[in-house]
Amino acid sequence: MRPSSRVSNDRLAGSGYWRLAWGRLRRDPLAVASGSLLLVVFFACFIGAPLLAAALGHGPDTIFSNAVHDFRPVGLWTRVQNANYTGEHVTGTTLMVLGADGTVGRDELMRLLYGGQATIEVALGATLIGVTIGSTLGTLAGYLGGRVDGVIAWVTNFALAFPVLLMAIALGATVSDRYSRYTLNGLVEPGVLSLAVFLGIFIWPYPARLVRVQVLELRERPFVEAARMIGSGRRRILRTHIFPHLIPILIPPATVMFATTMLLEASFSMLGVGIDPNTASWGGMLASQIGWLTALASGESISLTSRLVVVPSLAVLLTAGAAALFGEQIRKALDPTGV
Amino acid sequence: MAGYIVRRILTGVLMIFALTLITYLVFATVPADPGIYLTGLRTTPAQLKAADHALGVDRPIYIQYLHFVQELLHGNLGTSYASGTPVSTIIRAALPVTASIVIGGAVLLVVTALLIGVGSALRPHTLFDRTLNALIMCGVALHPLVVGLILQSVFVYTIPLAPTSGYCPLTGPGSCGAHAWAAHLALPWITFMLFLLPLYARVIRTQVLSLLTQPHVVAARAKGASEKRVLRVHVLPLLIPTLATMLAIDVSTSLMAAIYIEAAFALPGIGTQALQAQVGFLGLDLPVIVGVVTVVATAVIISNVVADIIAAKADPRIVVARRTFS
Repeated sequence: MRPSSRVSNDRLAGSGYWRLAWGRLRRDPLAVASGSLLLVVFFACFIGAPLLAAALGHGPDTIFSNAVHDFRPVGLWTRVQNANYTGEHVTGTTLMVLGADGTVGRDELMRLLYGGQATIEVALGATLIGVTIGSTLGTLAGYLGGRVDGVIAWVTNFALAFPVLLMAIALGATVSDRYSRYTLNGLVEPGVLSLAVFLGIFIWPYPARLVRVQVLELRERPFVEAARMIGSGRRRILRTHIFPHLIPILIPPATVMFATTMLLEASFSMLGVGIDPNTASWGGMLASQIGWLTALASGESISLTSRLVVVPSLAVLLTAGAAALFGEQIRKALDPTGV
Repeated sequence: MAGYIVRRILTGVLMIFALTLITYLVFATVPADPGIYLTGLRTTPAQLKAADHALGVDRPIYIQYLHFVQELLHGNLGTSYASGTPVSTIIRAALPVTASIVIGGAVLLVVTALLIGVGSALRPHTLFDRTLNALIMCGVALHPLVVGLILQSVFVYTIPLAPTSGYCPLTGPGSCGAHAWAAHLALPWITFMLFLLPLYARVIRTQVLSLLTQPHVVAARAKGASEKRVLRVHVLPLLIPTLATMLAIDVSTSLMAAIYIEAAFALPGIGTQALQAQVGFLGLDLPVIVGVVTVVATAVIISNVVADIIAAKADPRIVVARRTFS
């Protein structure tokens, strides 16, 4: 047991940088709201989905032939009669909370939750890859300077000028089938890893530029000079004196990259080069309804149901929006004197 | 300065060749047979072989690439497999459409971002500023294709304010005047603006806020300059290099967004041409794709050089500082 005087001792003890930032973040209503929303989405997709699948007894790919009547999927909160593949009736009914997913007759809620897994995995993976490549090259360019800087700058500009979308369409036709079987021993859905790597290779220039500028400035700081003076090696300086200063400047752009790659996943699906359409993903769910959007835009009467566009759109919009907003609030918490 | 610009242009040209080379290498892995474009789907292997020979695609890929380079140095971009028209003709027809979307959209973007960014920077941390910021952050989650289609649905059909999708040229044959041109492009411009607005409005807000605390602004205020004068003379001109650099970096992103915007509004721009060259069921129209890649890369490089010149003119220290950065 500690003596009761510990309270006053605690008050006197200095708080660290991260603890102060955490305190500010906790008191920020926008940060709490967006952070909790993100947590809810993550838990629902990665823990809720398998639990719900076990409870309901069917997964995202189970087909209910009774969930479609006259090519129209059943609506919200409908009980459908179970049936086997030949359409014979089997005893029991299944509750479809968000209805069926179109003319195939799969459970929209299960596809939403499992689709969230694929989409979030792509976005997280691409962000991690992009930040890792970008911060490594940015640090090298900023710290070493000279010729190394010149070469890395050229590669960065090259990557920025690269018409990614055109390459994605070409690669989607041929290469993606070959690579989509890599799933890290079933850790991620098929096609997720290749798309994450592709997107990561595309977005690394943004963190690279940020990091390079920051390192250029850090390199001249007195504490780095002091470290160099007492004989610290280049690797040690980069690891213990420079790298910790890069984390706060990388978190906010990383959350924006997370949001952007989530949208790119949807974009690629719309062009037919995203994750395999049989694997549930939010982009794929949206893309399967793209005919609905084009019909809407050309003023045709709409025969499909708007629910199937609204559900995945809201999922993407809320998650990406919350991620971007959360990153912005983290930035404010890390740098309260900034604007 | 002159040496700096020359070096930038030279590395830029090198970049164009590297980009086209990669395009050739990537498309070489695609198992497509362009001969089908000439013979149609009902064909014999012998006919197909003859057609491939006529197009020159039976040669090794590096010979094809060297041939492309040779033609490019003479200002030729080759001919389309699909239609047999020169790629330069296709691009010359499509480029004004894309340029209209991107340039018009960029002007609208800069004006709107300045209004919102400066507006919220002048009232920092008020309800107005915070609401605008939260809304703008959520705007990151908007996709140009979806935004375009929804805008079209609302403003063409529900409330008929805009003409139906399509394009009419500003000048030349088939032109329908500046008014109709702008009317057809109003919704694409708004879509483009909304796509990049979150980023720009935020950067401008941050910049203005930090500029307002700079010593020269404090000095100007101390001398009794009005807030309007401070903003016009001491703050806004300093945004020019930042804006120029950002716009230059975003040229390739803009052209990517333009593909979606062209698709949403059925505009015959270079994005549409590239998509048609790739998603046609006959295969890939490589000359058109490489042509578009070359044009896009050239646009990116020119805009980067121009932005650097603007930034260097505005702040002469930049040339010295960037000497290591290509």
